[in-house]
Amino acid sequence: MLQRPQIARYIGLPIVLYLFVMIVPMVEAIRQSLYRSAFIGTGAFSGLQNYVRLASDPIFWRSFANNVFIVSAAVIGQIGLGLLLTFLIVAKGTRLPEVHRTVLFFPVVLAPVVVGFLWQIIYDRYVGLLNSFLMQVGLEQYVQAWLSNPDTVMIWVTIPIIWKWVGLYLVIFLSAYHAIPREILEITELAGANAWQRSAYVIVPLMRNTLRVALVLCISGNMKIFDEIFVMTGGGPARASTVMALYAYNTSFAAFELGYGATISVGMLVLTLAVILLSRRLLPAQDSVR
Amino acid sequence: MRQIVRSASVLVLIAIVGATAAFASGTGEATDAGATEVTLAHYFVDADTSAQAIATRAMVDTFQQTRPDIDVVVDAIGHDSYEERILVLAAGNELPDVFRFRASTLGDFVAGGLLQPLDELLAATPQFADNRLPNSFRTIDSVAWGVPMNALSTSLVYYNQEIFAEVGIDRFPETWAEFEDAIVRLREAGHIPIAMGNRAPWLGQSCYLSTIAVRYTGDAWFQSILDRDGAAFTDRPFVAALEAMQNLAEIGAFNDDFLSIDNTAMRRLYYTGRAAMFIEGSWALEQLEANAPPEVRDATGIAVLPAISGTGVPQNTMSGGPSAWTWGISAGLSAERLQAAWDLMVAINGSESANIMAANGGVPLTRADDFDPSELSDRQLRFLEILEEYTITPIYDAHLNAALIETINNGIQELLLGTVTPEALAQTIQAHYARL
Repeated sequence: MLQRPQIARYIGLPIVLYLFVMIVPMVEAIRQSLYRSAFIGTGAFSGLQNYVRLASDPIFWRSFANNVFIVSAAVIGQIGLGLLLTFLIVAKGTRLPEVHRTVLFFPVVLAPVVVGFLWQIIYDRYVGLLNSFLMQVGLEQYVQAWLSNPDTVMIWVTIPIIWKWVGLYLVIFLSAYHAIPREILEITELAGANAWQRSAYVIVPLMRNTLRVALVLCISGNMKIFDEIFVMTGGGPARASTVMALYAYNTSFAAFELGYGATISVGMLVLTLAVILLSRRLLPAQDSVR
Repeated sequence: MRQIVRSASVLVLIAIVGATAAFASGTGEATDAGATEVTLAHYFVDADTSAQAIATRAMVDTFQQTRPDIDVVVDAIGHDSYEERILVLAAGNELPDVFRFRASTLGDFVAGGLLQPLDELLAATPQFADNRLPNSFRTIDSVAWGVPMNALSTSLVYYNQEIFAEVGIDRFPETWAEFEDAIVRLREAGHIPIAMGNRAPWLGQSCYLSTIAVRYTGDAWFQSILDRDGAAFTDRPFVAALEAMQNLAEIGAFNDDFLSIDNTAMRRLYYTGRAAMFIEGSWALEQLEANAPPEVRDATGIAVLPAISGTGVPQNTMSGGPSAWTWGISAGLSAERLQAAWDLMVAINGSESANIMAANGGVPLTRADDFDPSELSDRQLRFLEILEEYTITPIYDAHLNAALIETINNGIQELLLGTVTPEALAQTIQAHYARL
């Protein structure tokens, strides 16, 4: 049994570190969001004015809508597709499952900036892979500047994000699948359940808690998405692909409104928590596991 | 054992606190040898071959040799990270002694008490002050705060004379109507008339609007905007300038991915011969000389946007002036350190530096008295002529508030996309301007 002073010594350092790298910056951001001008200490205290402005800022809400779009696409594309791929890989007829797993996991280890550049080259109007392919197969009418159309740009920037992360969910789901006791799977097979029935009624319910964790990862990751879009479009054209993190960055470092930039970050935090809580409501925890 | 663990964790804590304190306080006041330490921050990394970068690096080296009593600590990082870094250092009141900053943030820096006023120092070094060109300091209410290094034009047209000849145009258009006609002919012949990269949307504002607008509004209108003296962005001439820009996009002047590529990719379209023109500042000239394939480089002519008729204001104008980046000295230095910082500032911006810049194709704001123009290319010489022939007018983003510039920049993207009318954009800009 550890005594109090001992416990304090063991956890003291981690707590100090946590305070410095998490809590202090967060408090500082909240403090800064209450000031008007560019530099800390030099601006006038403005109370909640920045928050009033945030609530009626169409660009902020449009960025939020873009985040929601990416999150929705990612829940389908990353978790849904990840689940589907998991079933395909563990299916009886699949050859070389390790190869599939490795290939699908590969983009996860690439730096987001690399992914951004890679897909920028794929989408390039004049020398891009995609347009060259369309020319080769005689679909010239579809050749276009993929990232220049504000109406469709969100679709094209979301695809690389799904492509990059689907492997991560695949690996998580594979390990969850392998944690399911073999006997259960054998019994369902003996009972005559087909692949679909086994997946839908046995495997997915048993993976429920893993799915919940994956959902939180997916939502929080995509609510703060930045790098890939920053590299691919910089948030354009005309802010059409701006997400909240990018808007906070541009406000702080291009428009030099550090106070309002901090406000956007705080708004981002609140909205992300809200979306996560909502998702947990929709998918409640399993009351008793097995 | 427990004792050791305790001592170790105490040591780690001390190290963390110590490191934090060291970061917070920057570098110490003076070194052991008794030399005064001066910190210098800029973005002229070794890979930067612009005239300013070459001159700055050379002058810092010289200064370190000739002034053993001063120890210069140089901190150079790439341009984009530099801009953020300076802002963060400013926010924490930890600015280096001598540093570069963007002129559009001058007001914030001064309001924050972060900058040293330079008037007394200038009065004490008359031979430096007298050698500067007129109006070559960054001032607020006629107090000098910043020392820009070079003059530039933000709006030069680089055009491929061979492609122009191919479609039957033997000289650069002299009127806006001819210019638009040339664009249509180039487009019909299958060329991209103007390579444009407005992904980072400053280009449309700094290199296009700053010149096109003044051809409609005249210089006095912009001054009135700056002085809040009655002019509004909804005034007819400014709206007409926005219309002219939108019309360029409508007649197909640009590559169709102009909203998703940056200015480097834009130049590539020109270098590879796909595009007949590109419009960018004089800094692109240095890049063109160094990076363009020889056949494209040698076919390139330099021009200024042609005259727009019927606007009733002078047309021999071009946006430019002292560079948007300027040197400054941080406030609150000790007398000894301030003197050392100023000596370094004078060295970096003095005649010797000006000579190096001039020899490398730059346009220094201190008189260059000793350089050999025969080293320069025809294009560089033509640019020097243009600087003589044209009246330089203000660059929007060197003078307007940074948040307002963001609104203008993003608005221009929408304008060129056709998702906003010139009138509506003018109203948006005016609304932002009114609320500042």
